[in-house]
Amino acid sequence: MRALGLIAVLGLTLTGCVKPPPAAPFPRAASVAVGAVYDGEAAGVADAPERLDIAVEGALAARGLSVRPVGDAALLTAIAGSPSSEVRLARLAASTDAELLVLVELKPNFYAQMAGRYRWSVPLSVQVSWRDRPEGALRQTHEVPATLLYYHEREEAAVGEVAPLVARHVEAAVEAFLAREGG
Amino acid sequence: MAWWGLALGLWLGAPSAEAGSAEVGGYFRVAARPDFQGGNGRLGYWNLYGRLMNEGAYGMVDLRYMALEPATKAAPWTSVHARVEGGAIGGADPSNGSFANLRLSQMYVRAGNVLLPGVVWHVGTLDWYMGDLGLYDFRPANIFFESVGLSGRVDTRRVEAVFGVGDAGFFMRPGAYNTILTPGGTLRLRLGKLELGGGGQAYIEPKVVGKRTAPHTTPGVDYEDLVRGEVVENFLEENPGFENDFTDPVAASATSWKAFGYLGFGGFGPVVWNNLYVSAQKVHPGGSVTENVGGRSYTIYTTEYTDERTVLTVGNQLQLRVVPERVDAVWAFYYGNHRDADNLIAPSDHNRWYASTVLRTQAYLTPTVHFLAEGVVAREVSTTGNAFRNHADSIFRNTGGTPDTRGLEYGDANTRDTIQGKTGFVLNPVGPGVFSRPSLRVLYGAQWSSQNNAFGNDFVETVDQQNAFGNVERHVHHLVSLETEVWF
Repeated sequence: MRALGLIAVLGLTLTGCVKPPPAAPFPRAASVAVGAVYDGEAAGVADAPERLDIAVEGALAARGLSVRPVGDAALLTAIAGSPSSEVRLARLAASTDAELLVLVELKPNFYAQMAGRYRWSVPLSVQVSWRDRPEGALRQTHEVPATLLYYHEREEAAVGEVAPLVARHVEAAVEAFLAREGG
Repeated sequence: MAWWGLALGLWLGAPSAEAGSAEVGGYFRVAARPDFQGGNGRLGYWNLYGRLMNEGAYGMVDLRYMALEPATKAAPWTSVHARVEGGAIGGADPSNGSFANLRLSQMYVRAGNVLLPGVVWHVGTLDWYMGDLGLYDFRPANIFFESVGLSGRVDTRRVEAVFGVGDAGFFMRPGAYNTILTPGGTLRLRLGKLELGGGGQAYIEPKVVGKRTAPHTTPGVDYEDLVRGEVVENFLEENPGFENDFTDPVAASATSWKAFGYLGFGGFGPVVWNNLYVSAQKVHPGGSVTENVGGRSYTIYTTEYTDERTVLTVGNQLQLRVVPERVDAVWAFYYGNHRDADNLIAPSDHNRWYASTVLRTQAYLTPTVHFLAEGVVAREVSTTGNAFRNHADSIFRNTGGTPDTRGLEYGDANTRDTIQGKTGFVLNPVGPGVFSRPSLRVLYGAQWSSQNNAFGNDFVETVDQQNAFGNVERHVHHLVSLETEVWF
């Protein structure tokens, strides 16, 4: 019995040395620019927190895309402050020479207190398009939950909390877009 | 749910808004905890030893229907919420997941930018709290938990204020409703990395002459007789033949209150956040008890005998990032002091104090595989005599070393000391974080308690010589847990 326990403990501990297999690359390599914004109940429209940028850009880079920077903070703020998704996408296109554009828009809103935590609902829109052909954009929408520990953690923290989920959805949208476009 | 949207939309008359969508959130925890020592799957009695491995299965599903989504930030909006929850999950609790153990615990409508801009109105069940002590699952800064009514909330960058009034009669007097008004409110100030808050609530149950379920007192009751359940017996001894003339109750009013303060700070150095709470409460008086004598049932009304109960609690939880992305820790303590000035003779939950401290650390072997260790030390002291059995034969070790069949104490000690340790591996698919969920855990826990068999069990406790099962003396309890917990 003790030997079994020891094996289980060692086995789980050694998982620290196990590296996950690399993600399969997208069917086509391309350069990509990512713009991510959120529209908070109280915070207003803002550029997404760094945690989300890192998650999304990291996921795309791991699948073989070359992530190009969009520009400085002022430019990101200008994109975020655009009146509509179409204008945001156009401004994103104007700010980069990347072939592919990914626009992530989130609208976190407080849902309810739940078992000691603060649940937020984060509607998510992902648009993927070629920079020179924005009319053919693919748009997918989702709703992802964020459960925060503290009330002072508001929209920005909710967006950061869902970063891994958003990255997965962005991956899926890019994959679907490239498949639709014939790889 | 469509008729809700239509009705509320018409009522609010908001042409600039659009109908929204339904969404489901919730919480579940479920565990397999085989207990070879005869327990029921919990390491100790209650959350004072940390919630981990001391709580059972629980499920909650919360529905939100955005009946009216705001077209702009200033436009009216409204949402309908309903919550079903309870400690019942098939195969994981004694009821085997029976729906009888679930309840529609919350049902409310929230509406914003109606009547007053920036105010969110909340009608229905009003439960609201100002954070919690997650390691204990305690929420000292909680208001309107029992209330159904109306509240308003203003929430700006600097100030959050909640004010409201409700009725807690159905919750606090189930099956014997009487109106209990509950006005109250909270105020929280956000000053950068510091938060200050406070709040309170009153419970007002007016006198209603002629209503059986309203507060009453049966005058002239001796408290010891009440504790022993011998009020009627002694009355009839003193008044033979007065079976039809037991003392009439006198209508009374009942009031109580709670107040709390909150201090939160963090966001510097290794301190992620610290929550400190102080709360004081005057417990609402009880209703009535019944005694059966001579085949008849008599009701004794207890408002005057239960109206001097108070509770003071102090709780703190500190979340630390010890080694970023490698090790996190959470440390908490909790102190409670319950006093009942009516009862000076018998041990009860209303005459005790307790203190506990918990330290949980979580090391991240990989982003998804973590190692958890938690230690707990707790002391509980009864202030009105012995309340704990330290030994299987403790009936023979009563106060003074002699059996006392008329004694009001229980067991042979007024103190229960508890030490718990829990450790194991945690799989967190979404990454590091001591409170990251969902969490899949394989844990081992051990408890030492000064009390004999200090965990939920079905042992035969009598020391009668006819006890065919025998008695067990055990102070160390082990448990393995395969469990999961998720908010969604």
